[in-house]
Amino acid sequence: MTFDFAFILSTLPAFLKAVGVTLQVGLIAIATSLVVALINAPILLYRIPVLHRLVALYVELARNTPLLIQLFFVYFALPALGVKISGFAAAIITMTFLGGAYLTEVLRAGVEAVPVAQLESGRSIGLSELQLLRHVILPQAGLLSLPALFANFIFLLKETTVVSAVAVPEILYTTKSYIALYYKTYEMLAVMTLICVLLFLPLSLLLSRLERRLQHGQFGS
Amino acid sequence: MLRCLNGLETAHGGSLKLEGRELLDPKTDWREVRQQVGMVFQSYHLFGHMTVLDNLLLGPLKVQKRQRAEAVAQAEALLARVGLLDKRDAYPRQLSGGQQQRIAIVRSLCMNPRVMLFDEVTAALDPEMVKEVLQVIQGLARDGMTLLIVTHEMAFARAVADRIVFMEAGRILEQRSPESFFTNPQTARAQQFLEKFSYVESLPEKPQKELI
Repeated sequence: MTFDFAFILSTLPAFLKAVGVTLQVGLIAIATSLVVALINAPILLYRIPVLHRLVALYVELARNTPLLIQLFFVYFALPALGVKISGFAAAIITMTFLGGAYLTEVLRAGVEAVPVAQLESGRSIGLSELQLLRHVILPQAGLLSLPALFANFIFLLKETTVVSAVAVPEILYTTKSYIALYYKTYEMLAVMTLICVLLFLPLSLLLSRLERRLQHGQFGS
Repeated sequence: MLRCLNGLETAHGGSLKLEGRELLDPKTDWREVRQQVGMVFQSYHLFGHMTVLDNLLLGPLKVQKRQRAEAVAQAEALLARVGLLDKRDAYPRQLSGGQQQRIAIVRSLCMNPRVMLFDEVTAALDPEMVKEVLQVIQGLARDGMTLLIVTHEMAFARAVADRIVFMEAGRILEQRSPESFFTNPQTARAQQFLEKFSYVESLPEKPQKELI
């Protein structure tokens, strides 16, 4: 077997574009998931009647069904009901559905991890519940959530490969297209693996460094 | 009982009065009461994400809306008094238990309370640090501040207190002057308690500790 480097070179522009698409889908999905989580977490934490049951149901549903099936539902089942959307839109909607559920749990857990004693301590100097939230609970919950938050960001970025199933031209879709067209299976799989490592590993390292820096700065230990 | 006095827990019954005002009234504004009743906890509970100075200023600035310059001046003066002025920019994690507890006391004092509640404030400290915290409390007592102290430091209670309240399972069993409580306890439960305590005290070759 010979490795066709000239062919690999010729595909690089397309892969560069694919990386762009992966990052685009991933980053948009992270942002919209965060918005969903920021709305949902307080609903769970304050146990807002009726709504908190719906949110809990959503979280369980999203976390206990495979992403691929969620994606097929959005892309193939919704048009049958009269809602037609592009592959890209389906990708964002589905990733947000999943990511929102995970991030909701992360934020909820972060707030619940703030020790009760810190709340009593704040109340004992006369802080109102709102001041307590702003000056004690949120800063501490934010720091406590960081590791899980970052882990989930990377998880979402990696899960973008699933959206290749609805023809969004990200890394996996591009790889599969080239394999189907030119039968350069080994070359394309090697390129894909390399891109994934180069893309996700530095990101992983960067985020864990950032996380350490933040904790260090805040707690000064 | 201390937690009831601060509204952290609801009393089952009875009466709590602060300067003639009934606190168990459901209309009590606990936020206002808490500014007059300082509380210090067993495990300090400083805010870990803030520097010492920010811990001290949170109440005065956000709750009492005082001027920053004036609040800082007071906080620094109190820090100097407990010997920790050089720690104003440190984070709680960088401090020893005794230092954190002294900061926690200062945090309460910065609110200019009428009364201070101390909830087993030395129980989580090792013996060397107990002293530095007790000295601070003793200083407050000497200044004439009203202090309610829950403690197992019997010698300290005897030396500093004007009145001893002996409690068991949430009920007051005895309430009298330290001398009469330690030399002549009335209830059987208090006698039993002090006997056990004096037994421990007398272990290190100092049998006559004049208790009982």
